[in-house]
Amino acid sequence: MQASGPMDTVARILSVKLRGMLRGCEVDEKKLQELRLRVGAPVILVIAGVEWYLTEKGKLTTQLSEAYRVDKNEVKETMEYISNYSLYAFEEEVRQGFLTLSGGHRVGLGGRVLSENGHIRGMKYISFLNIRFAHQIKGCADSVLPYIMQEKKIMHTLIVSPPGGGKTTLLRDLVRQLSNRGYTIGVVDERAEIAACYLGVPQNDVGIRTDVLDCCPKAEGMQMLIRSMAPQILAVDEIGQEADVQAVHYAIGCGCKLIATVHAASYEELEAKPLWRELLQAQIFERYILLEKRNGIGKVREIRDSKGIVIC
Amino acid sequence: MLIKMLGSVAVLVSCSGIGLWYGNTLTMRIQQLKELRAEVLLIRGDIRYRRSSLPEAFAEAAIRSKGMFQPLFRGISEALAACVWESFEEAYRSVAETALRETDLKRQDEQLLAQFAKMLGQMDADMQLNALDWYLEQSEQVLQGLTAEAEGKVRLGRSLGILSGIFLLVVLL
Repeated sequence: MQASGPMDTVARILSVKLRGMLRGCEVDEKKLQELRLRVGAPVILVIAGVEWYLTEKGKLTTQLSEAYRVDKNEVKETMEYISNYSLYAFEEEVRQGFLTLSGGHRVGLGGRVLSENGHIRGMKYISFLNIRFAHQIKGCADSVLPYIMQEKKIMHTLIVSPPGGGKTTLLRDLVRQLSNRGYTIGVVDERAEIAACYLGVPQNDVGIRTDVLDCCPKAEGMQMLIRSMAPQILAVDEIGQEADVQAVHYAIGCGCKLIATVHAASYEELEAKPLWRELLQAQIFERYILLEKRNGIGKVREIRDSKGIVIC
Repeated sequence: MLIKMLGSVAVLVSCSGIGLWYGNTLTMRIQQLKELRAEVLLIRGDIRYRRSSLPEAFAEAAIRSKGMFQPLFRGISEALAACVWESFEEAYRSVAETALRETDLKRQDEQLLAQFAKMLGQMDADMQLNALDWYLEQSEQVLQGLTAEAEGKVRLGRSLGILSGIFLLVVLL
């Protein structure tokens, strides 16, 4: 749960100079979306979709000439604070390109990628930081809940949307609501986006009966949860690999209900993917919730049943 | 006469006390170095197995340690959590002098710790483990040297204390 405002949490991990500048500026924290640091470039804050530059006096401006430019040492110092002077402890996160902060905010990293035998080993010369502020939308699953929960029965559900369509936000709220209604839920949070754990503790409200495997590969994580935590419902984000699909079969075979998400713009696009065609034909999922991005916000476009017939 | 006797006893006791204190200091230094090594070994395990960050590993050490080094570990952990020092080394330096004041460590031991602090927090997990191994190895060598010399030095210190007391008595009387 969030203990302090997002600005406080984020300012704490910035270099001492940037921290002072940011604390001097007045921002509506609810509308704060991003803070970008790039070596030699201005500090950019994205507030309600609009870009602002930070001045040396801690004011927001749209004039590039007044913007304060970040230097290499400030990014380096910021990285020390983000990683608690222990970047080695976040090797896996760095490999994935992001770190999670207290409060569930995420820091995307850019720099020189080190690879070995085609696999990413780490990153050096980290020069680009994108701090994205977490805003959990409680209640966004209210309208879909009656379709996936009939009496006490939960339907195997697949949330389908293009990137940025709000599928993780919807999944998170479904998990929270079902968990608080008495279902034991296991979440495999491979990219720490659902629960956004920081030091093992979910920073987002995922309900009182939810167990989380943080930064765990989906396929292995689903099997681990079934064996160890006996969940009634499994929740996973962005299924896409063959191993994930096999794990879906395993989970369903074990009697677990499954709520998952997948990248696709439409049901037809999903049907066109060989990996998914088989799952769709087998009618494994009983509900398909299709989302679309409208005015920058994810909205439910339609809900289909196991045969792909639109029911809402 | 009584005053002379009391004075003689006082001189003898204080000189012997100085000899005993010297021997005791050496023994305490060895004990504290052993204690420090044991803690560093546990920190190593924390980093190797749990991939704990440095503030976490030192906070754990502060909870575990009930001895002389608890203020050092707690101080480091708090300094790191404050996020005001540019590197681990700076955070270490900010607390080391005060936290080590009550210990019996010598300048040589403190320099070794400072060098160790310089290495921590750099690069990957292997580098942390190498730094920890380096410290364990170096301190083991110091300990071996001290232990080999200790028995003789402690005995010498005690004997010198008593003998110098007797010598002073002879001169003064």
